[in-house]
Amino acid sequence: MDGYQGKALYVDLTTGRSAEEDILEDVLRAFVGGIGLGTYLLNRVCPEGANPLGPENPLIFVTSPFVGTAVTTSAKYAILTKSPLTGFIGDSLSGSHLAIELKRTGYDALVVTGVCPRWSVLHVCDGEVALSDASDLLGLDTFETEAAVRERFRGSRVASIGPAGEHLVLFATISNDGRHAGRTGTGAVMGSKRLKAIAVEGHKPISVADRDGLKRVNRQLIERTTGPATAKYRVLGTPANMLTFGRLGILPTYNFSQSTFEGAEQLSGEELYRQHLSKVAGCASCTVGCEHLYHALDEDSGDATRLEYETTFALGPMVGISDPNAVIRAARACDKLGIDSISAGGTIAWTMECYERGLLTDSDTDGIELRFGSIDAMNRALVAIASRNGIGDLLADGSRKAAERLGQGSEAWAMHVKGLELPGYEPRGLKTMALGFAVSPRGACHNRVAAYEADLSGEVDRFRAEVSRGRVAAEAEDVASVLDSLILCKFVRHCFDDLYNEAADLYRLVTGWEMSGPELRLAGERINNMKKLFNLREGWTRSDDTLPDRCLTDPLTDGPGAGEHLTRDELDLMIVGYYRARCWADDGTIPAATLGKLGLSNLSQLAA
Amino acid sequence: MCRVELFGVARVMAGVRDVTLDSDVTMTVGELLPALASQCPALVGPVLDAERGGLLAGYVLNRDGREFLLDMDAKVAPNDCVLLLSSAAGG
Repeated sequence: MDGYQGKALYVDLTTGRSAEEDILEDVLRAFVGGIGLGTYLLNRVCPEGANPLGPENPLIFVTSPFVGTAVTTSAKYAILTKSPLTGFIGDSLSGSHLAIELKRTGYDALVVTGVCPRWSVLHVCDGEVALSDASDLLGLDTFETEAAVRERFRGSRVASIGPAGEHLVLFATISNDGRHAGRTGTGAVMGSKRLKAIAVEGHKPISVADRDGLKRVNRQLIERTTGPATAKYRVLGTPANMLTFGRLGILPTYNFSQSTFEGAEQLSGEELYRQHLSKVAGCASCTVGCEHLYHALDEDSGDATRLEYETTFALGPMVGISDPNAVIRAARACDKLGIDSISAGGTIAWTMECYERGLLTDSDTDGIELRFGSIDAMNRALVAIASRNGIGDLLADGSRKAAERLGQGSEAWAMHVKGLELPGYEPRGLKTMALGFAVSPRGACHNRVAAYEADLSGEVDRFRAEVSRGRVAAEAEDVASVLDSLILCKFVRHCFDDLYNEAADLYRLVTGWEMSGPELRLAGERINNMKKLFNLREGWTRSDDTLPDRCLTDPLTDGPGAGEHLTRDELDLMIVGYYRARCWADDGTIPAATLGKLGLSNLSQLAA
Repeated sequence: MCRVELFGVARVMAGVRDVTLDSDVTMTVGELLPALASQCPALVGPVLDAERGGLLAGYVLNRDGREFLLDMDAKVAPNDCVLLLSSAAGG
């Protein structure tokens, strides 16, 4: 089989047994790979109502047809599970060498269930599976764990959890090659399985159907990835958003109570580039190279640390901190502890607001003065979260659950959707994105729906809510699902003149299977419906598609959008438009006719 | 006078945060861009199209943080503040 390995490996950690299963061509065509194939497998393997931290919840690692081929930016893998943070679909992507090594083991997917009898490392070498003791690794950070396991299994690539995953922090990450499957708490699921690391080592070939044709088309794509369409990512990386977003009044600050930040200049990509840049790197198989590593100016030694816009926003403006040295160190702490920096920053910002309003006192916070702008408070909170010590135990469950426990109206400023903390895009100034946040099956997410592009291109009036935004958001979700399933990095999306048709060409050259642009587009729609099917069976209701109260009650106070607001009626109007665009019922459920159109009527007919 | 604020790659290339264009009359975007190129030649090539005089794909103009200027005939008044931004907003 070209492009795919055509098989999944199932490992039961409780018994240590493994089995492989073929994945049928129909399934691969329908769900493509990556997030799509993982969503299909999750629906199939995860029992309805499973405890996310129970042995029955699968942790699914999935590659794609493009992984391990010459296609630029394709070295990524997806992790699927039921999220302990949201209770709905949990999916995350990470990049680089591990993805290629995983595919070389001879499988498109690794499905892990059960619980290890003791803390363990899972070693997968081609078809051989073994568990080894990990007691000596407990307490090590993600970098230390990866180094130790790679030393133990020479030639392997390693995904690991840090202390946060060990302590079941609900927004813990899984890390590999200096990258992180960051959102939805996949690291907590891995920790619940007493699995400290997975080492993969593969020697199986990865074949493509038309090597010469792929070389030709890929060369054209590579040329475009080194042009102006990706210049922002190559030169400054995603931190370039900071200053722009501040100027446009969409930079969430002080827990979304402002949309501009007085310290944005210091934290901007432009200033980080000028004063803090150590080096620029990239994932394996990438011709963009967006990864910018920075050093703090006030320390003699210290590892160069990767900063992305989201981390910089969450550990900067969101908590009122403008010192780039402090943000670099806090980002490093999140990476080492294995914590999603967006959820960490969002949850700490909620805590700071509670503290400043007097809902939490020093006796609740172990003496930490959790005020906006306090670097010491942020650092101590991060450590407390990762170990679940003191106030950290409350915060380790994320802002939604923490607010539910504290009460006293604090739910109104817990800035999450479905339990997932908002990334750094102010919804009141980006109304298409507001809709995207509200309806995303993953929770508040900018990666699964890039609806902000419409708002920030001038294509629509970003301050206006319209029913037509439903179609815009749905189409943005479908594009994201296709990219996340093939897999291609989203940073190359503007390198295509006609994304679906050109990506379908690549798919045909890799797999040898006919695939048209419209078929690929339909696959994106199918995958988004499959995500919704998972959420529906896990108890989704119409009330889950919403935004935090603050976004629906308070107008913007500053910046070019000062005075602009987003009402609940406006959001509901856009949600109606979204359900219509998806051919869903008014209550957000999926009618049989829509399932039929997408080939999802009888999933049991699609075997593995 | 019209101020053009530079962001991202444009700021790095130009080495300045903003450029003031000496004009006390309303001009079009099509007139503004050559004036910007003449005052800030470092932008020509990486940000401004050397041959056609427009913006390269990947860049966009905005007025006062509220309105995107997509048309070369769009008018820019002397007191407007024009932002030169990357059109890739993701991250």
